[in-house]
Amino acid sequence: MTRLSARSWRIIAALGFWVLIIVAWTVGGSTGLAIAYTAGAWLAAFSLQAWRRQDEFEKSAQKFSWMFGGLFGLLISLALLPAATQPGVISPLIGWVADALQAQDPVTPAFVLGAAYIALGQLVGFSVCWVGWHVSKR
Amino acid sequence: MKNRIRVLRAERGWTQADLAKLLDVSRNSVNAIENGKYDPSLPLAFSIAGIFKMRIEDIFQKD
Repeated sequence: MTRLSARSWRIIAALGFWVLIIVAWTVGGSTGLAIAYTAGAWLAAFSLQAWRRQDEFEKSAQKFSWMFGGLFGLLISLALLPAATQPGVISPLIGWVADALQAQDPVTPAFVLGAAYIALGQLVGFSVCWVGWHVSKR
Repeated sequence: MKNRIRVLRAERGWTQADLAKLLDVSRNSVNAIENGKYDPSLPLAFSIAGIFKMRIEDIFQKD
């Protein structure tokens, strides 16, 4: 199994993660939460395998992209916070997250949305840097 | 850093993919190293030298 390529490990990591997340979402409650944690563990374990199978060129690309893309993604998402928190933008999103989580209090969906917002900003920053790094090395 | 990998590879009739397979790296890695866009680590430089049966300094030169 360790001879699988980095791409194969990434596919296993992502597919398993999303399947488990969908199951967790469907089941809900404490069982769903346990499945969601399992999904996180699955993603971490198989992402580690993918990382180990990558060559140093790709590892350099990912280190660079997490460092600078992640950082600038975080800073840009924070800079855009005033726009993102306009009532017309944030209210429907909080309502949607509250419905999806079946949350009874207003704090939980706001916290989840805030965490997702930062993660999304870093992911976008990472992706932009990763593509830029590969284009610059062609 | 300059290098002679493209010439050495061509002398042996290898494609970038052939060399990548021998080094257990991606073809993109070989392409970036050949074009001087990426400097390999010391272990990879030793592997390249070993495959060509040459010394590192005979393959890589400072700009």
